[in-house]
Parts: sequence; C-alpha cells; structure tokens
Amino acid sequence: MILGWKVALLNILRNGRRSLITLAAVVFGCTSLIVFGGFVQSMYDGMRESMIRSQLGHIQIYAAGYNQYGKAEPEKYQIPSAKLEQISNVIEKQTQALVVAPRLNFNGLLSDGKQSIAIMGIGVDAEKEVLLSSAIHIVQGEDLFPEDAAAAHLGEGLFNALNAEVGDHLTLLASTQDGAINAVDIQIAGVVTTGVKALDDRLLRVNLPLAQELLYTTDVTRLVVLLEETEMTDMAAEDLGKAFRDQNLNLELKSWWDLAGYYHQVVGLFNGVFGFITVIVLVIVALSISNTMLMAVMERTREIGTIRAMGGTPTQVVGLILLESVFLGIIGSLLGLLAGILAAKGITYAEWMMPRPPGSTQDYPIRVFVVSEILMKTFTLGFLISLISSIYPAVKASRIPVVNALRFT
Amino acid sequence: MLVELSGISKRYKMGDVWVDALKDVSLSLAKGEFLAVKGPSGSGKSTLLNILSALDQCDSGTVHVGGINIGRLGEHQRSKFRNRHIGIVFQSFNLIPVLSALENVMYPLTLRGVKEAKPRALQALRDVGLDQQANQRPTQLSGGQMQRVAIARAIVTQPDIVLADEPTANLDSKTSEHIMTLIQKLNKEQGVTFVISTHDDYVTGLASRVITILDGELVKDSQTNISPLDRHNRVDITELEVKV
Ligand SMILES: Nc1ncnc2c1ncn2[C@@H]1O[C@H](COP(=O)(O)OP(=O)(O)OP(=O)(O)O)[C@@H](O)[C@H]1O
Ligand SMILES: [Mg+2]
Repeated sequence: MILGWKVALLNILRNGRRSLITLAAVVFGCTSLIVFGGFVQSMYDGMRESMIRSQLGHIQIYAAGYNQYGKAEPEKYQIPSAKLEQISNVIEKQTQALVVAPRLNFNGLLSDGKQSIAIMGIGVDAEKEVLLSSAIHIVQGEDLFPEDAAAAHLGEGLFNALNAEVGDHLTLLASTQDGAINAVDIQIAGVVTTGVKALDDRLLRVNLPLAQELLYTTDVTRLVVLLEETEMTDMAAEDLGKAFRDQNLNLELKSWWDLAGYYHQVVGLFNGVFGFITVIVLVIVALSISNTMLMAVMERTREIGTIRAMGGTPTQVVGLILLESVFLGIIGSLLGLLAGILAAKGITYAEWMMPRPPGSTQDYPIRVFVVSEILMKTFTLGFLISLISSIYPAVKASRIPVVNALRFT
Repeated sequence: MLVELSGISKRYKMGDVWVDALKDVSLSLAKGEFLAVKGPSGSGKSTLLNILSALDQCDSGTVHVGGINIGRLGEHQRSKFRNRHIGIVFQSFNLIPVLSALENVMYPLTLRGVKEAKPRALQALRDVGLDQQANQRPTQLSGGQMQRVAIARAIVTQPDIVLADEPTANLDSKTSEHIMTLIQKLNKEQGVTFVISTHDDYVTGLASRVITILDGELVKDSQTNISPLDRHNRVDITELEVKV
C-alpha cells in the first residue's frame, strides 16, 4: 500500500518535534554503543598486543611435557641447545616468523648486600628480544647488549625496592640444575617496565649465557615466536604442531591465547559490563521513543479514528504506525552510525589520556576502534529498538473505540 | 430492504447516571432513499448514525445492512464491512492533512488493496466538481471544497449507504446549500443512499424522507406518518433542558 508509506513518511516530517526526539534517542543510543564498543575493543587490542610484545610472543615452544611436569622438575623438561638450530629452521620454514628467541627462565634471589629479594629471572637473546619485546619500555639506563656479559634489566618495582643506582653491581643467587647454590655478579644496565605491575616487581632480565652459567646448563626453557600479525597465530600454531609431530621433535607449543589468562578474565569482565551498558542504553532509548511515539499517536487520535471509520482494520493502523517507526529507526540508525564513527575518530584523534587501569604501569591515550561488526550490530539494534518501542503506542492507538477516537479533539 | 433496524437501544453512563441515547428504535430503509434525521441536540441522532455505520454497537436490537447482521461482526470484520458497504461524511471533514485531495479519496480503496484506485478517485472528484483541485492539500482548500473531497471519499467505494452526521454544521449557509445540492444530485443521478442528520430545515426540505428523534425515541416518520401527539409536550422540555 504505497499510500501507507507516503502517509508514514509525511507524518514523520509533519511531526517534526516528535521525529527529532526519536531520532536523537536512536542516534544517542547508537553513538554510545559504537563508542563504548570501539573503546573496549581498542582496550582488548592494546592489552593483547602489549602482553604479546612484552612477555608472551605469539607462540611459545617447549620440550614435550613441560607444561604438565615442568613446574616440579624444570631441569628435565628443557630444550637442549643442540636442537635449537634444527627447531629454528623448522619454525622459519613453517611460519613467517619475525623472531624466534630462546628464553631460559629461573627463580633466584637478588641481593644488594643488605637485603635479598626473590626475583623471576629470564635469560634472553638480547638482540632478538629488542624486536620480540618491543612493548617493554626502558625507564632508565640502556638496552641489554650481548657484549656486556653481566648486564641486567630490572623491573621498575624491583629496582625501587632495592637501594641501588643504574650501573651498580648486585649479586644474583640461584640453584643450579643439579641442586647446588650458585651466584653470579650482575650490573644494572637499565630499569624496565612491562606495563604489568606484578611482573615489574620481580622481573630480572639477563643475557642468556649468564643465565646458563648461573644454572649450570646449556639448555633453554622455551622458544618464543613473534609473527607479523596476531591474526596469523592459529594457522601458524597448527602448521608448527604438525611439523613437530612429523619430525618427531618431541616438542609442545602454546599460543598467546592459551597463555593470556588475565586477558581472558578482563575480556570476560568487560563483555559483561558492555552487555549491561547496552541493556541500559537500550532501555533509555526504548522509553524515550515509546513516550514520544505515544504522544504523537495520541495527538493523531482523530485521524486514526477517521482511518478506522473508512475501514482501516486495527492491524492496518498498527502497521501504519510501525511503518513510521521503521523509517525513523532506519534514518536514526544511519545517522547514529555516522555520529558514532565521527565520535570514535574524534576521540582517538584528540588523544586524551586514559586513567591508568588497575595492575598496569603505563598510561595510554584513549583509542576508539571503528569495528564493522559493532556497527552492524548497532544498526540492527537501533532499528529493532525503535520498532519494538513503538509496538505499545501502536497497539494502544488501534484499540481506541472508533467513536471515541472520532470524538477526540 | 437495504437497512433493517429493529428494537435498537443504546445507553451511556454519564458519571453515575445512565443516559438512554436510543430507546427501542426500529426503522427500515430502501435503496436510493435520502433520509434526513431531525431532532434537538442530544436526542440521539449521532448515536443512531454511528450504529448504522457500524462505528458503534447497540446494547439490544439488531441491525441488518444489505442482509448482513452487523451486530455479529467482530472489530476486524466491522472494519472490512465499513470499507465495503459504508461511506461516512463527517461534520469537520476529517481529511488526512498530509495527503492531497486525490490521495485522500484514494485512501479507502487502497485500504482494501484496490489497484485502479487513482482513476476511480479522479472520477469521484469529478462527480463532486473538484477534479481541478486533485493535487491540492486540504489546507489549501476551502471548507466547502474539503467537504466535497470528503463526499468524494465516501462515495468512491460505491457503498450501499452514505452516512453524514451534520455535514453542513461547519459551513456557512451558502456553502451548505451547495453541498446539499450536490448530495441531492448524487442521490438522484447515481442512486446513492444517504442518511443525514441535521438541525437545518433546508436540509430536511431536500430529503425524500424525514424522521424525527426525541429523547432517543423515533417520534415521527414522514413516510409512515407516525407522530404520537402525547410526545409533543416533551419537545419543549427537552429543548429547555438543553438550553439550561
Ligand atoms: N460516548 C458517550 N458517552 C456518554 N454519553 C454519550 C456518549 N455519546 C452520546 N452520549 C449521550 O447520548 C445522548 C445522545 O447523544 P447524540 O450525540 O446521539 O445526540 P445528537 O442528537 O447527535 O446531538 P447533537 O445534535 O448535539 O449532535 C446525549 O445525551 C449524549 O450526552
Ligand atoms: Mg450529533
């Protein structure tokens, strides 16, 4: 019924104030969802990349059994140096890895002569780690260089707990693989932060040879692989796993997805918060639309009475009013998308600093991603909510007895 | 008979009191009649027309229009019934303001999905002498022109009967005469059955039949000439009450 479409469209124009309020409500709702959704996405992204590029890499490779038994007997589940070359070749062949870096993890005590602090040590290939751990920031001092055999990076919290300066010498104690106590001298080359406070309080990074000397071993704990893009992880992990099995390398691997427990907790929490906010926004928008629509429909009671008198059925009246809200919903949602995208870009461009999240040690500017999935969901929601919130006014209008509706002035 | 009303009663509740708007009214109407319904204010004219047009339902009695017992119809069916069998002309025209004259006339046809609504609507506008104004909005039309559009809208579906509740009450006397002449012409030339309620003697003068309602009762019918004398006294009383 083309006339119905025309009436609906023209009624939208005729009832300017009502239409504006409804549109504003839909636009407000869409914009909030797009901006908040995009912000949460950027937060996930930032957190994920910072974890990958400061600790986890995309894929980690261990000797088979390490993740199950390595905690109790780490020395039995190491990757021997002799095999490193071969494994690296496989990795480079299977994936377009940017970096494959060995790490040797250990626990120890760091002493400045007066006090000793438990540390979480990592022996690293300094040159490779510059690429791999680009999200680790040097707060004081300089990079690790392989030539400085005794050089060490201390986490910021750890450094502050000690009474020491960059350049000072400290003693590092650990138990070797066969259980003896061993000690080496280290020199503070720099102070670093990973962005995670709990880690910064205990982190000590030294050159791999020093760590191997301390633990009296030539093995490494793991190989950390950095890919070009995080999206490549799943494919790469699958290919690698297959290649390792095929060549009987006796290795196992985990992706950042498996290792980032904290990330998943935060994502879960914020998805919950986002869901809750979505519901609140939708309720506000729905109430506002429903209210304005009710007023607009009541103002037109007489006209509706006339249509009913001419033989329009209650269903046709409901359809007519819903058609109006379909139009309003589409227009509002489109405007809302536009406003949301502009707001997202504007906020990102403004580079406001974000309040520091708990457990984090770095400030970031607020970024709001424009995510097509969120845009699509928002459009659908904006459209549906304007339709749904008009059902009550429409049904109510269609139920007024015709005689009363006609009497209405 | 086209219309068959028997024993119609309708009461309204006004605060705590019940008002008898219609009391046991019976009436039959043949096709092609032009019936004027007379009576003082509050006598029940509008109530009668509303029941005839299936806009309202009576409390007791039966209404048959074209053989259909409209008391039996549900809300949906009554809408369909109105669309097919009834044309209504309102005192205050009730055109849809966002639509042109032509679209207003097309509306009842499009409600039932008629394809050739436009030529039929144009013809109806021609019948009321307004084809020149087809594309104008109601706001651009005079009162008399608006009522002509409304009449075109009522006849475009070729209804069994057109009901007009004081169609000239909002018009000046000159325009009223034009409208009534038009109605008479449509009645004579196209055989459209009209029922018109009015206070106006000019209107009753044109009708082929006049009934008088008083206090909800049919007290006079020019066709059957029932006019019980004992009720005449009450005319003054009712009119007095209304004036107070
Ligand atoms: N919806 C209603 N609720 C309550 N009372 C009503 C209602 N409709 C009509 N009435 C009462 O019923 C009686 C008849 O009313 P009706 O409108 O039919 O009179 P009328 O002859 O059309 O009067 P008028 O010439 O003023 O239009 C009046 O007393 C009126 O107050
Ligand atoms: Mg009346």
